[in-house]
Amino acid sequence: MILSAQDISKSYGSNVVLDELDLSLEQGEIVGLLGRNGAGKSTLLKILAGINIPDTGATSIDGDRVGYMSERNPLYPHMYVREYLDWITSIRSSSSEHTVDWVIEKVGLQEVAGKKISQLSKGFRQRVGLAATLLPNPDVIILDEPINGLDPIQIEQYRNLIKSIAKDKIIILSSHLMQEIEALCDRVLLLQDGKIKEDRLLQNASDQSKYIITLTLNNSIDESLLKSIEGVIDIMSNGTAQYIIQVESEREVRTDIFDIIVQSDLKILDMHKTSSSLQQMFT
Amino acid sequence: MIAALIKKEIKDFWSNGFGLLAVGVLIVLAFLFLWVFQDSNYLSYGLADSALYFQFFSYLMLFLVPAFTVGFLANEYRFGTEELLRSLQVDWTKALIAKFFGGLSVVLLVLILTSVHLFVVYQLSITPQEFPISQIIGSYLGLIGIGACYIAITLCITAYVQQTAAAFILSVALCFMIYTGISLISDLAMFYGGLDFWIERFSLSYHADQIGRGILRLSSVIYFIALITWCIWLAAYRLNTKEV
Repeated sequence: MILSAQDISKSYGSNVVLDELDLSLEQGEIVGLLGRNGAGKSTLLKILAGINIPDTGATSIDGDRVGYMSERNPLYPHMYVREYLDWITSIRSSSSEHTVDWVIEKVGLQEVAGKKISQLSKGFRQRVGLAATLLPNPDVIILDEPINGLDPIQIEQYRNLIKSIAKDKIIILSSHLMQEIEALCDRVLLLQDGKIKEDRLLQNASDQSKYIITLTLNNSIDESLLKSIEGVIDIMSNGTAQYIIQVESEREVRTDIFDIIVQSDLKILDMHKTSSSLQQMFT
Repeated sequence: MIAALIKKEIKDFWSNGFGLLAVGVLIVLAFLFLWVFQDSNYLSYGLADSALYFQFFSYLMLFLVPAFTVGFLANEYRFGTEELLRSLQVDWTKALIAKFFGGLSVVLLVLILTSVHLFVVYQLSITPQEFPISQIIGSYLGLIGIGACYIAITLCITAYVQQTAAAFILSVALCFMIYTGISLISDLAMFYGGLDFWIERFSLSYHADQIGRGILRLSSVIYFIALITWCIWLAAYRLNTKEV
C-alpha cells in the first residue's frame, strides 16, 4: 500500500500554502512532517485526509481508509467515552473495523470509559481522539500535532502507543518539535514554501559527530562563556536570548551550561537536545 | 447513519439543559399569556376559542425556534466538531436532516406538553360538542409546519453566519419576513388588485392559516416541503464546500 499525492496546490486568496507538492509514503512508515507555524502542515494533512480539497492535484488514498486526528482534537464533551466511540462506529460503516472494546484496551481508556469526555484530562482526551481514529482500522493514520499539551509521561505513553500500532500502516504526524519527530519517526519531511524541501530517512538524517542544544534564556549571555565549555564546537544566536549550540557527540555539556547560567544570574526558559542534521534542516 | 445522527442531536439537546430551559420557558409563558395577563387570558376573553392559543404559539415560536436551533450548528463550530464530521465522511445533508428532526422533536414535545391549555378550554366550553376538533387538528399541523420552516430557515442562516447572536437576529428577521412580512408586502397599495393575490401565497402565514381552517391543499404541502428542502440544501451546499 502506498499513499501518494501529485501536484498538490492550495492557496488561500493570494497566499500560496502548497505549491505543486508531490509526496509518496509507504506501508510501515512513521513519517514526521516538520515545518514552521503557517508552513502548511495542517493544510497538507487535511488534504491527505480528504477533509479539504486541493486547488489542483490529487491523492491516491480512499478517504474511508484514512483515520485523522486534528490538532484541536474535536470531541463532543457531553458524551461519555464509550458512548462516543459507539457513536463513531455507527457513523462509519466500513468493513474490517476494530471493536470499541479493542480500542479502549489498546489506548488504555478502561478506567475512564464510563466518564464524560468533558471530565477527562488533556492526556485522556488525546487518547479518546486516537481511539476514534483507530476504530475503522485505517490503513493511513494522520495525526496533526498529537502531543500538544501533554506532559512528559503522557508523551512517552503516546509514543509507545503510536509505535505499537505502526505495523502495516502508514502513520504521518506533524510537529514543530524536532525531538518528537526524532523519537518517533523513520522518515522526516520538511515543508517549506509550499514544497517538501527535505525528505530523509531519519537514521541518515543525523550527523553522528555532533548534536545540537537549543537554549533559551531570560536575558542575553556572553557567548564566550558558553564557548569555553569543553566539547562546544560553535554557537549561533538569533539576536535574542536564544542560542543554538553545536556539541561534540561524545560530550555531555548540559550540567556545565546550567552552572554557567546560574553563575551569570540568568534563568533558563528552555533547553533541549536534538540531532545535528535535523536542526540544520529546520533552520 | 441518519438514525445515529438524529439520536445524537436529540440527546445533545436534552442533555445540555438548554432543552429543558426552552420548554420550561415556553410552558410558563403560555400559562401567563393564556391564563394570567390581562387582555390575553381566556377568562377575560370570555370565549372558549382555540384561535388565541394558536396565534400565541405561532408568534412565540418565532423567537423560541431560532433560539434553540442556532445552537445545533453553533456547537459544532464551538467544539470544532464540523472537522470531525468531515473526517468521518459524514455528508452535511444527512447531518442537517438529523438536526432538523432533532429540532422538530422539540417543537412536537412543546406542543404536546402545552396542549393541556386546549384541554382546559375544552372543559370550560359551555358547548363542548361544538368545539372545532377538525380545525384544532389543522391548526396543530399548521404550527408544526411553521416550526419546521423556522428550523430549516435557522439552520440555513447559521450555515452562513457563524456568529451566534447575529445568526439568531437574522433568523428571527427572516422567519418573520417569510411568516407574515410577505403577507404585509402584498397589502401594499401598489400591489392592490393585481400581484397581491400571488405575493400572499408565498407567505407562511397564508398556508398555515389555510391548514388551520381545515383546508389542506396540495399547494400548501408543496410550499412547506419546498421551503424546508431549499433551506437545507442551501445550508448543506455551504457546509460541504466550506474549508475547515
